[in-house]
Amino acid sequence: MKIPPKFVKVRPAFTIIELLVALALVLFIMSIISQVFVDSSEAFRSMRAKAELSEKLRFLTQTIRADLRSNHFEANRKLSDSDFWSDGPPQVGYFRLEQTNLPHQVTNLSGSETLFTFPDPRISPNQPQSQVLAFTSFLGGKDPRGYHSVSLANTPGLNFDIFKNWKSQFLASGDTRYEESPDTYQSPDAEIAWFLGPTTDYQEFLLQDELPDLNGNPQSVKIYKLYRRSWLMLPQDLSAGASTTSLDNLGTVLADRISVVPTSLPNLNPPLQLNGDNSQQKPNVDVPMRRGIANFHAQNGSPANPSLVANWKNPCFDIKSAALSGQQALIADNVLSFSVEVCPEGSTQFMPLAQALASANGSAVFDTWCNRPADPSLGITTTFTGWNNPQSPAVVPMPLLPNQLGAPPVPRRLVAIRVTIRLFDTNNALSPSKTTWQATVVEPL
Amino acid sequence: MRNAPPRKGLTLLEVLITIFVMAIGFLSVLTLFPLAARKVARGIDSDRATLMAGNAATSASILGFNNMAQLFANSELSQLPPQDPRRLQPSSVVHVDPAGLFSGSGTFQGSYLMPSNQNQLPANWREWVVSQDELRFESNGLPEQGFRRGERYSASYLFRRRQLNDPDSLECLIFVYTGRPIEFGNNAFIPLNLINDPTNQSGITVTEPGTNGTPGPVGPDRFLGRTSWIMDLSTDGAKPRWKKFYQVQTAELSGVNQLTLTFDRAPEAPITNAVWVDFLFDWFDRGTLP
Repeated sequence: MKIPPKFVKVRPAFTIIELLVALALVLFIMSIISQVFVDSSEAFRSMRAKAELSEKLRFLTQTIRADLRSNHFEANRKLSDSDFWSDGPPQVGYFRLEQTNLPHQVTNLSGSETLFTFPDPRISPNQPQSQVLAFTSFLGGKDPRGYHSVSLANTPGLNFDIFKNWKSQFLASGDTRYEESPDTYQSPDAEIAWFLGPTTDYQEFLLQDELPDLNGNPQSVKIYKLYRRSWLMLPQDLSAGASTTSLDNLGTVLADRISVVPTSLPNLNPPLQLNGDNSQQKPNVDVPMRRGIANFHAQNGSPANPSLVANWKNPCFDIKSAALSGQQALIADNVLSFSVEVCPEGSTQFMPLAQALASANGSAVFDTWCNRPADPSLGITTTFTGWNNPQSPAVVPMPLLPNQLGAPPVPRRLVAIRVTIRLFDTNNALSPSKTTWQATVVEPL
Repeated sequence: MRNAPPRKGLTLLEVLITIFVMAIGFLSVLTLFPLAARKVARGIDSDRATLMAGNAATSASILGFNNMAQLFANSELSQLPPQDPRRLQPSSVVHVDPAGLFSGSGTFQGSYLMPSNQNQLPANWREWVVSQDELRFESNGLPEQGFRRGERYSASYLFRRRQLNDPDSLECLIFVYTGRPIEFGNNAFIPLNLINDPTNQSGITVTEPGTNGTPGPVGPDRFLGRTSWIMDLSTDGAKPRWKKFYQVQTAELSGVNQLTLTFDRAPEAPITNAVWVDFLFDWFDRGTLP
């Protein structure tokens, strides 16, 4: 039967059934898409965190590898040289590694409040917590862009005319080793120190969705800071007999960043003269470093330049003051652990320094500046017979090994070093990704 | 009602099609997320592998591989008279794998494996070629019992003398592996049984490892397929080739226990001898060791 058009009902829109079906389909598809989106976002966030940590670690490992690979002593001498000790201790430069498990209290700036105490067993329980790696670094080559550099921006009292006068007096024409720009000073020679905290503003991240520890406390991680301080060295040629008072003054101004050799120290014998040949692979300085100078000046009780000695404090590197006084030395601020292991002579294993030196209390110091005989020609009147430097904390004597051909025994050498750095992702302080990433550097010494 | 103007609307079919198209679009965009993450992961892996290779190169120098007496002890070096002209040729290839607990028989065509037994290299050398951040070791230098490595890094070395007579001409390649389960031991190289297949000009055809008497993969997660690495060890003259690596693009069963592999590029010369370098992430040419 045909229905007249006037009785055909005009359809205004969807029926409820259609809407319900469409809605169900939309919800179903959206639930799938949202799950994919959540999973993808989480994966992307994790990968981004790893990528950023990896980028930071690449910079850290390249920097520390370059530092370790540079020359630490005169005439390309290496710690692993078989005749390193039998030829006598190095005349120029030093290499010092200090590790301790002794509790180390960290206070605020005024010292009125103890913030925390090293070691913290939650990070690297098997590693010494307080570690300082300090050494001299002598670079070669002619291109100052590859040298050590230090920013001198906003330095009160800085007058580069002193540099220019010094350079015109002592450096051959065309010698670009100590070039400077308005904000930067460059030198092939530097004293460098790497150390992990302590810091006064460490961060702690609660991992609230982790299981509590054995004491029922919520799990957390503490984040430390890693510092790399460098003191660029400015040598002087005392054989020229020129006055260096102006350089001493400059050293006072820049005492935190540039190590200027004082005037009263005699030359090495034979002297390493500045001869304008900047391609030679040997240190360009002809006297021991300021750290060593402070050392034996203190031993003799007659520092020739008290201000310089006071600035250096003492031969034991003061990591707290160094950290507090030089924020420009901060190189990583999300560090979980920074561990240094050594491979001693006669072994093929890496181990903490205390184990290499057979220390009973887990603390040890290796320092090439010690074990140095008296040498009046250098002004060193005290014989450093062991590793117990009076101005250092408790140190462990290096075990002596029999020397060849019946010569006196010599200290054990260090053949290689392994530095491991672990970072923690702190991009989002409220909800960190809890991603950690670690890199290891192995270098011969 | 009768006078109400007709309203235009979408039919259910139109709505469904729209939803379907939108879903395809959404999923297409979301697919880019894991792809991007995979690219980032690959970049990170490359970065880590480079660091691992740098450390392995340094370790080779510290451990004295460049003047290790037993490195070529099993090669033809001790068998040739001093004036033999073959001493001016490159030596055989020696694979030094301190992380391999059991390296098999110790030799295959023109090449040698170290260690050929557990005692040939010091056990604690393993920690020099395994990324320490990923694996715990016992005090005896062995990996921690029960610890399963996954997606981590280890390294081994491939040495040869450019001139058999010249001990200072030691060339070095470094392999960096990822996810290699070293606690299960075994050698990283698995010799392949090649089948003559003239139709396959972009790869090789092999007997599927582990069948018909060919060496089989030992340990889990070993699968000869896409992204596997093949090293060409065919001989030119009497010497195996050097630095000839191909990455598998496709692996298809082409017969009973027969795999046809195509490479990322056509082989530079006919391959008559090849090994499957399992878990290899990348290889690094370190040149001649000082």
